[in-house]
Amino acid sequence: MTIARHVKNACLALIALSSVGALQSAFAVGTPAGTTINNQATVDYSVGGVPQNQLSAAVPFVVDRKVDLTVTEVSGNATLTTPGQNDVIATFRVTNNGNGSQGYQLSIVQDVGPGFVVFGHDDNLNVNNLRWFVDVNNNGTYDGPDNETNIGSLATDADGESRLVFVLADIPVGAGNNTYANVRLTAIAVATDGSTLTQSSALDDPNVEQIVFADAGRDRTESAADQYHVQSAALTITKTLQVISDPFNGGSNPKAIPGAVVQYRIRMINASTTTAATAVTVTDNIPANTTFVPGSIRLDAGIVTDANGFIAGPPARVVVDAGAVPPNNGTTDGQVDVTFQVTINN
Amino acid sequence: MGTRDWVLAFAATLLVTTLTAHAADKPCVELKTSGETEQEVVEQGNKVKRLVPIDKIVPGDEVVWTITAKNVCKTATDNMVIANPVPEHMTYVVGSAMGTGTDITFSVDGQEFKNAADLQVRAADGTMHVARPDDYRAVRWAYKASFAPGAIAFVRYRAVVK
Repeated sequence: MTIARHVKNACLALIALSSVGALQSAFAVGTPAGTTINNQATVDYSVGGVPQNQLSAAVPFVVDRKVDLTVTEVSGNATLTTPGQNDVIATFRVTNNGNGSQGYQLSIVQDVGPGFVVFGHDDNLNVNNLRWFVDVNNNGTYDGPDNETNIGSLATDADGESRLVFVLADIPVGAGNNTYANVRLTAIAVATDGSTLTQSSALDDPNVEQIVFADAGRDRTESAADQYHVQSAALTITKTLQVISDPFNGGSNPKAIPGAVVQYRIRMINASTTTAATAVTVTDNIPANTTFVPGSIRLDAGIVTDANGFIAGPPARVVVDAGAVPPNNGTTDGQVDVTFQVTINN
Repeated sequence: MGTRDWVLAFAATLLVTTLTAHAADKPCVELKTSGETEQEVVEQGNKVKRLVPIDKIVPGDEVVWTITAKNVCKTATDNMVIANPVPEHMTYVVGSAMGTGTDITFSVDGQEFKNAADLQVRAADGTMHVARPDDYRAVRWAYKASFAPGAIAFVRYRAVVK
């Protein structure tokens, strides 16, 4: 009897040890697919005051594969860009929220608006040359084109569970100010060998790892949108003339008579509050019956030499590289003037 | 070793074998464990929650474990204690253990069992705190009354797949 009790106690001790040992493993994410969970209950009892051998009943089941993913737009804002800019990057993140490694097939489409509002603005522009690249080395920055357009495998640990995807587009030169182009990245979870996943429709087999789609919509497919917001300079040009002097009145109420000096002013106004117009060149032919006044070209208050601003032609003309017209943003006034003078021929 | 010692040793072996065989041949309690999940079903136009057999299980799913004990002997059983270590990869749902006619105690180390209110765990910094769901290692149900022949009873608790 005593020996039997000892045997029983030894069994209990073993069970206690094994359960404590089992408790020490921990997983950062969910229990991995394919893990067997075993529940073993025990009962101790007596009959007629005599303790009986302990009995146990076990029920094992296998944790099934939870396929769950999210696709998110990283910046939380539209990507600001300008007309004609190439390789403009919109960044997405694909995250594995499941309990097993998965691959992901990626695709990108752009909305053809109207009717697709992202970040409060409807789609009204199409961008060119859409491409996407996976941040294969996981360094968080776009390192140039490569061949990886799908994600081979994302693990379930905190370091390996997500990957950035860079979507590149070229902005049409003719894109207007405050136009918007939406792009959408879609990721479809696949097996790590790239093969298609099928959700198990059969009843649960407690001994087999089966597949459960647990993402929104339960279709193993998620997508997110980003937007290219084109900000263009919006230049308007006005040309005015002023008679500076004539041979008879001098500078006092001068009249446009032969020999009079006339000043032309070409004023460029940038209506954009954010974007400078760059590489602005002003070309203006010298009117017939007038003669250019050497040394008279000004870019705002600055002198432009004739060598840099006057071409004798024909046609005789003023060509001034005005550089940039800044935005009208409170700091800069968004305005640049080019002036030059001519004399009316005798 | 003399002849007398041999006989004693043989007798002792025989005794143990007989007792063990006796107990193993005729266990007076049948124990069964089953896992189910709670699902909302529509019955007669009303949504009700029912326990259904485990379907596919993924992390985050809750399993209702039921352990059923039945006295299959012609004599009563006493001092019946059912114990169930919370399975590996699962977290006990605090407050979920139930068992009619039992004293329910819990353990955070698999050895010492206490009432839920008395469960204290020593943190890494040496301070004590009330046991959290992850700290529960095992549940134990001690029946207060004896089990008549043919009596059947069950205890139950819930645990979530980590």
